[in-house]
Parts: sequence; C-alpha cells; structure tokens
Amino acid sequence: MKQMLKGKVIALLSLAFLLIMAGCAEENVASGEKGESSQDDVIKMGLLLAETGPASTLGASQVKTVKLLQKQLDEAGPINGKTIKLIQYDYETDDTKAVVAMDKLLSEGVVAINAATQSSTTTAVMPKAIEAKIPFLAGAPIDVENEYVYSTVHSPRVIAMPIVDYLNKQGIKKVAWLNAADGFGVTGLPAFKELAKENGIEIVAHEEFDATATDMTIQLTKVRSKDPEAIIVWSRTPGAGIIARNFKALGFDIPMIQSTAAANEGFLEQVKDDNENIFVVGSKLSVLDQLPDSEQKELLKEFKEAYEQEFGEEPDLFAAHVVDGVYAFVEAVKAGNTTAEEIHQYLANDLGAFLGVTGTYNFSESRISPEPDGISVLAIENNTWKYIE
Amino acid sequence: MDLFLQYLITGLTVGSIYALLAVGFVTIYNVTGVLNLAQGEFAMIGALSCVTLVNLGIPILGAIPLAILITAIIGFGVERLAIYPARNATPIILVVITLGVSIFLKGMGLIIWGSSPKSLPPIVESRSIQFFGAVINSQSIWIFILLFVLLILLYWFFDKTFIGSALRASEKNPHAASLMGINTSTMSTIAFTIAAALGAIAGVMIAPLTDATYEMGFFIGIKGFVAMIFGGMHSVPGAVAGGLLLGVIEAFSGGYISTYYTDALAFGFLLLVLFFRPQGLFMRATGERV
Repeated sequence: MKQMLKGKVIALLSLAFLLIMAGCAEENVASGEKGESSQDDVIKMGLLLAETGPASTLGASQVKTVKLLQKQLDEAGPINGKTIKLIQYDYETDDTKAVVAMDKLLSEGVVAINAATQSSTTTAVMPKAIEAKIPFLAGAPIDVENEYVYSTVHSPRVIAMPIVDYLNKQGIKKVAWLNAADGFGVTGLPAFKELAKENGIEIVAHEEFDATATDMTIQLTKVRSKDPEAIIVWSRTPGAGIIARNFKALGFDIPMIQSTAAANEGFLEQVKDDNENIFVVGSKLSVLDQLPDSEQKELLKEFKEAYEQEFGEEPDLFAAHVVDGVYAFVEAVKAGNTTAEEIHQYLANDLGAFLGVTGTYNFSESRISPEPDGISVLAIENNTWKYIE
Repeated sequence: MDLFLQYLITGLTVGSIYALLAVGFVTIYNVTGVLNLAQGEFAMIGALSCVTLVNLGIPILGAIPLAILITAIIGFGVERLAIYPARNATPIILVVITLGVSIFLKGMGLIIWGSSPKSLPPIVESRSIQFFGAVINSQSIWIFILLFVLLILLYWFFDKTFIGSALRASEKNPHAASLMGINTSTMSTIAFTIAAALGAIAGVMIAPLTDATYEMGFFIGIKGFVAMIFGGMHSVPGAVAGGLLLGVIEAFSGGYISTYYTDALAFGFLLLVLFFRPQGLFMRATGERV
C-alpha cells in the first residue's frame, strides 16, 4: 500500500514537473500582433533581458518597459506600412543561455539587437551581432569599441563628469578614492584619474574594499590621515551603504560622493535618517519634479507617467536604457530604413543628436556613451533624492 | 596611537561577527561531523525575516525571537528533508548537500526579499561611542555581550546537561552512542535546529551594522568557517577566539599593509595555521587514532 502511494506521489510530482517545464518553454513575444500583418511588413528588434534569476531585480523593469513600448507601438500603428515587433527572450541571468537565445533571435531575422541586463552577458553576445553585421545597442557597460556597437549606458568617464563638475564648483582639489574590488568597482578610477588630471584635482588616497564586506572603517581611517576634501566611492550596495554609514560614524565633515551604482532605493534605505553630506550621481528621472522645465523634462515625464500608469511603480535607470535603445531603432525605421545595414548606417551617420531618457546620444560622435546631461550629483533630503544645481 | 586603537576596535567588531557565525559551525560539526555550508544562509534568513517582521509593525524585541524561531524551524526542515534521508552517507556527501541547501536558500532569499539591502534598527538606538579618539559602534558592544552569554550557555548545555552530552557522544562515536540508547538521527536534527537558531541570532545582531541582503551569507559564512578552523573545529571558545583573531588580522593587515591584500593575508595566515597547527591554534593535539 505504502509502495503504491509512493509510486502515485512520484507520478504526480513528475507530471507537475513536466507541466512546469512546458510553461517555461513558452517563448516570450511581447507583441500584440494578431497575425493580420504578413511577414514582409514586420520589422523585428531582438532584446535579451534577465527576466528571471539573480539579475531579475534589474531586468524586471526592463521587461516591463518592453511590454509598455510594444503596446505604445501597436497603438501608434504601422510606421511607413511596417509593423515593429520587439522580440524579447529571458536569458535567466545565464550568459550561456543568452548566447543560445542570441542565435535564435538572429535566425528569426531581427535587424537590430538590444542586450543585455548585465555587462558580462552583453560582452558574451555582442560578437555574434558584429559577425552578423547587425547594429547592437549595448544595454550594460562594456569595454569594447566596434563599428556595430552602440552603447545606451553611461561610460565610467561620463559618470565621473558630474562629480568633477561638483568638485570644481565647490573648489575641492584633494579627494580620496575608495572602490569595491569587483568588476564595477575597478572601472571607475582610470576614468576619474584622467578627468581629475585635466581639472587639477589630486587623488591623495586610494583604498579598496569588498562590496559585501561588513565594515570599511579601516579604509576610511587610513584615508582620513591624508586629509582629503571629499571622498569618492565607486561601489554597488550593500558596500556603498555600509561605507556611508561608517563614514557618518567616524564623524567626517567632508562630502562623500558615490557613483550611479548607489542611486537606488536600497541605498536610500541603508543611509536612512543619517545622510547629510552624502551625494550620489543619479538619474534625473528620480528628481523629475525638481527639474527646471525643458524638453528633457517633458520626455522623462512622458515616459515616467506612462510607466507608472501601466505598472503602478516608478521606472528606474535600467528601464531608461531599454527605452533609448528601442527608440533609436524606431527613429531609424521612421526614416525609412528596414534592413540591418540601413539601420546601422542611419544610427552611425544620420541620427545626429538624439534626446533619450538616459541622456542625449550622438552616435556619430561617440558610440561608447550618451552625454552626461541625463545624470547629476544628487543630495539626499528627507530620505529622498534632492536635485542640486 | 588612535589609529592603532581604531584598527583594534574595528578588528574586534568584525571579528565578533565572524565568531558568531563560527559558533554555529562548531555546534553542527560537533554533533554530526558535518560542515554546514548553509550556516551563513541561516544568518541571512534570520536577519531578513526579522526585517520583514519589523516592517509588519512588530516591535523589534518581539521580532527577534520570532525570526530566530522561524529560522530554527527552517533549520529543522533542512535537516529532515535534506540531511536525514542521506544520513547513512559519508560526511563529504552531507557537506555537498549543505552546499546545495545553501544555494537553494540563497535563491529563495533573492526571490522573497529581492536584491536591495535592507536595514534593521538596533535593539537600543544610540550613537557611536568615542573612546580615546577611536569610534566604537554601540551595536558591537551588544554583540560582545551576546558572544559572552552564548559561550557560557553553550558550555553549560554541552557539558552539563544530559542532552548536551548525548549530542557530543553522537559525533565522538555514533555507533557506541546508539548502543547506549542515543538516537543519533534525532541528535542531528536537534543540532541543525540549534545551529539555525544560532545563525539567526548572528544575523539579527549583525544586520544593524552591515544591513541584510540575500547574498550576505556567503561572505560571513566563509569567514566564520575560517574562524572555526583557527579554533580547531571542535571548540566553541576556540572558534570565538579564532573569529576575533581573524577580524584583528584583517584590520591590522588592511591598516598597516594594504587594503588590497586583506583577504590574501588573512587566508595566507590560515594556510600557515593549517601547515603548522592543523589541530587549531588553541587546542592541544589529542593524538586520536582512527
């Protein structure tokens, strides 16, 4: 009897497992098309995003953005008689799966690619786009320059620009640099060093820490003996928040400026109620209401409101990168380009200055980053971001 | 001088965190002979469930015991579902099972709590204390008091109570222990439950200092494990001393040599310990033969 029961349980479990697997295999086409348009009238853009897995906390808002954009495109109707279809695959925070999905996208005849949520994935799938000569809109910071690669994210140098501006405005000439000893953390210093040199700013101390370590008092104590006038930190959370807290505990009375990796709700929560003198380079999207009126403000507002209406939450900078990638592509299609090569030529030569949610792009001048006009050094006031000019 | 003092205090603060973790490692190891690689995840679950309970409006003093209870129940479940079915396997297989459990719990932590760090208010809200020019975080004083209390409690439990002796006997010689009427698999369950509770205590105590994230378990787990080896695997006081020592080594090597090599130096020291005193820094070699 017991044996039989066991057999039944196993059978049931395997059935459930099969059903789940079947559910997973379903491909995710974010499209509202009802099959009325024939294959020739459809222009496809491929996207690879981390909808599940550890990076889903970043990718989730991107996937939502794709859904929102597809909805908007469907509502707007065909462009020059062509329907735009965004094909998005979830790569499950797995670079290998991303490469497989990339092949699938290419075989489906996409004419542009926007990928991915993470840097490692972006680097992994990019060569395939280059090989196929398809314009590749990089969605995460990468260290490669290529004819077919257009970055929708800020390069470390561009992120450092508002910091240097802030330092210049405050007349600060001596800074200490602290970074996390990981992929993101180490990219900041070379870029900042160059800018600092151009602006006569001296880096008097440089220390490293582990982004998941429990205490950075040692690093800060060492830095203090060099008498810096400001401290710059290049780290993701939780390290970013812990070092800010250690900084307050040690009673520093100089500003601490952190990178875009700290411009999130998690960091705000970490430094709650004790955040005077702590600054973060963040997206203007998070201080929209405080911005002076401009074309940029209108654009940000339009996107933010549409997103909020659809999903009941605020979009983040990751969502912004996807919007810009897709819109650059839509612009190219609007101008009458339909093949990969045409779109590539258009992005490279004819698009010109293009105002995106992340910032202004000018691919004919720089493919590695948008301009720094979409980000700014933000202060924290009443536990929320404060725009300072 | 005040630099020296600051390094020492920071080292002891960080070390006390490692020590808290190491105590949980030793507890399971002493009973089951298994290294529980999911110990750091128990701390994570304790800390994050405490944060959730506090956010639900439960006062911190009520949330902490509840979080410890929740984690203990999870520890119980882990033993029943993952360790017990494989109880006749060799310890190495059990260790690999705990590794799987660790990855599973981390994944669940990510799904439930997301990736952004969450902070937990300390039991007693107070500013950091100035001490001869060095800064002490008041939470670390509480951690020290707790460590001391745990040392006494665990000593009393393992050496003075019947169940404690039974637990120790299960590891020393499982066969003889079962001949003496001790149910060794029950003992294993008890050990996991206690260790999970100890992990949760560690988690809720350190969260006000370090914040809680789903990935916090790995880093402190590794350091707690090193602390346990310093102390000779079996000894609770040894593990506490090992944790403090590791913290101080890290602080001084970071402060006086370089913060780039903190981990390299700490683990280099671990290698030296393993070469020259594999029985641990604070243990006498017992010369057991098996």
